[in-house]
Amino acid sequence: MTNTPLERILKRSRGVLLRRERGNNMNIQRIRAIFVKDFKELMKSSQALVPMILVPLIFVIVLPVVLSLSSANPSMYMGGGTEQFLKHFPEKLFPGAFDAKQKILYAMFVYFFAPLFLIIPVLVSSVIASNSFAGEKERKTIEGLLYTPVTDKELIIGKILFSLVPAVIISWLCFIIYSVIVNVLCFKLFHNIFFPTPTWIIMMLGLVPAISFISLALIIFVSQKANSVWEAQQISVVLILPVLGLVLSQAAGVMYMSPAIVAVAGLVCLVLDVVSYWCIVDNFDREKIITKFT
Amino acid sequence: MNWIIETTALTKTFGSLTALDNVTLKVEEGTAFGFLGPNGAGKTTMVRLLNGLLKPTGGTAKVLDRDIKKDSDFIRSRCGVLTDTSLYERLSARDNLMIWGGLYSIKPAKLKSRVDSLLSMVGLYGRGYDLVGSFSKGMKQKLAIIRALLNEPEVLFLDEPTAGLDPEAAEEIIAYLKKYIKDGNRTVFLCSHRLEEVEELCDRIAIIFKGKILASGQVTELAKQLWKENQFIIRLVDVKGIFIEALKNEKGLTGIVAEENIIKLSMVDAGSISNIIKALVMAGAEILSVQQEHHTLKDIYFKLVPKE
Repeated sequence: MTNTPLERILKRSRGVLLRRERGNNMNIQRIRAIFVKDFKELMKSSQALVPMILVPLIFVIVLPVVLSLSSANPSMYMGGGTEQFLKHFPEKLFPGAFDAKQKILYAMFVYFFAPLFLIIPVLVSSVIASNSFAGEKERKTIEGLLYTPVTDKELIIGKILFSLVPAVIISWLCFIIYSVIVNVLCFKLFHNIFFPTPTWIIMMLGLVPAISFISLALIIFVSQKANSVWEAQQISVVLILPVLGLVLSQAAGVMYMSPAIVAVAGLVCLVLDVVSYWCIVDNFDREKIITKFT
Repeated sequence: MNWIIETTALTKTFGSLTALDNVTLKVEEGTAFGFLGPNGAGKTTMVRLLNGLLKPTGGTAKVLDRDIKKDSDFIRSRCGVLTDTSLYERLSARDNLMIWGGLYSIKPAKLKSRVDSLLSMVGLYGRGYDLVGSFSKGMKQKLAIIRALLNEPEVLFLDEPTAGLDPEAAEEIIAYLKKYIKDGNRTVFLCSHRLEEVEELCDRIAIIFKGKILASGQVTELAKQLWKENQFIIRLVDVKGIFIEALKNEKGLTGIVAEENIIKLSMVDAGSISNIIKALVMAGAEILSVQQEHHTLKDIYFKLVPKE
C-alpha cells in the first residue's frame, strides 16, 4: 500500500506527537547540565570564539566608522556609480528631504546594513551548534553523553537552547551598539536620532530569533551524519545565500527591506522553524550517530 | 536466581555484517561477569545494545528486568558505563564530574561530597581543578572510571577499565570493584583483554568470537568441560626406567610422559594420585614435588578462540 506524500507527512507528525506525549517529563537539571557543559567548553575554544567576535565587530564598529569617515570625501557620493544607485533608490524611503550625503549614509546604515545583521545570528548559531554537536563527535565525547539518562528530547532542547540564546543575545547586543554608533556618527548630519527604524525592530525581535533557529536546526540535522565541525558548518551556506540575495536585490534596486517584507520573512522562517524542529525530533537516532561516528 | 541482565537470541547486524549472532546469556545480580573476546568480536556492540544505543535486529534483552527497546532511558539512569570514549578535555576534572552528576540528576550537595570522595579514592583530589587535557593517560582512565561510578550504578559496564593504568593502580581499581560489588550487591559487566584480571574479579565469564558465544559459565566448570582428565607433574631427583614400568601397572592412568627429572601424568580420577605416589616410592623414586596442573582462563581462552 502506497501512501500519498500528504498522508506520509500526517503519519510522521502523528508519530512525533505521540512520542512527545510519552516523554513529556523533561528534566531541567539535565538540560541545564548540557547547557553549562557546552558553555564552558565554548569559552575554551578560540576556534569558535574568534569568528563569533570578529565578524560582529567588523559589521557593528569597523564598517560604520569607515563609511562615516569616508563620507567626508565628496567623491564617495558624487561618483557615477553612487549617483546611479541613488537615482534608483525610491525617494519615499527617506523620511525627509535629504541631500546626497544624507541620502547615501541613510541608505547604507538603514537598508544595506540590515541583511548583514542577519548574517550575525546565522554565523553565531551555526558556529555554536556545530561545535556543540559535530564537535562532540569530533572529540569523541558524544557516545559517553548518549550512555547517560539524557533523553533524546532533552539533548535536542539543551543543544538548541545553547545555540539559540547566545545567537539572539549577541545579535541584540550588536544591534544596540550599532544603534548608538550610527546615531553618534550621523548626529551632526541628521540632528536627530534616526535609528532604529520599525523595519529593524521587527527584524531584531522576529526575524533574528527565527533565522537563528533555522540555522542551528540545519546544523544539528546534518551534525548527526557529519564527522567534523567543518563538515557540519557547510550547510550554513544554504542560509547565507538568501541573505546575500537580499544585499544584492537592494543594491540592484529590485527590492528594499520594509516592515512588511521583514514580517513575512519572519513568518516564513517561523514555519520553517517548526518543520525543522519536527524533522530533528523525528529523525534523531542514537544508532545513526554512533554507527556513523565509528 | 535474580537475573540482572538477560538476553535471548540477541542479534545485531549492520548491513551484511553480523556483529552479534543469537547471543543468549544471563548475568546474576551482585556478581561480576567477564565478557571476553578479541577486538571486533562484538563486545562493544553488546554494551551499546544493552544500554539502548543500538536497536537489536533480532531477539530480546532485559536489563534490571526492563526491556532494552522500551525502557532504555530508565536502564541508562541505573547503569554506569565506561568505554573508550573521551572525557571533556577542555574542562577541569571537577567540572567533568559535576556536569556528569547533573546529567544523572544527582542533588548538588550530595554530588559535591561524592565527587570529593571519588577524587580522593583515585588520588586525584589535588588535581580536581586542573584541565583534563593536561592529565596523563592513566589519570584520565581513573577519572573515566570514577565518572562511571558517580551515580552508584546498579549495573556497571566496564570496557577495558585498567587499560593505561600502572599495576598498582589497576590492582587498586580491581580491589575497589570487588568491594563495590560485595557491599552494595551491585553487578559488573566487564569486557577486558586482561585475562588474569577477569579471572580474579569475575564469577562467570562468556567468550565471544565473531558475534557468537563460544562458551559461558564458571572458569572451573569450563576447564572441566574442556579438559576431561586431571594432569599432575611429579618432580624427581632422576627418572629411571623402572619407575615408568611401575607406573604402567597402575590403574586409572591415561597418559605418561617422562622428561629429564619430570614425569607428567594424566588420569580421569584425581584421587588415584596417592596410589601412584606409593608405587613410585616403592620402586625407589625420590620425589621432590607433586603438583596438579590447573587450567586458567588464559588456557581456556586460547583453546577456544581460533587463531587468525
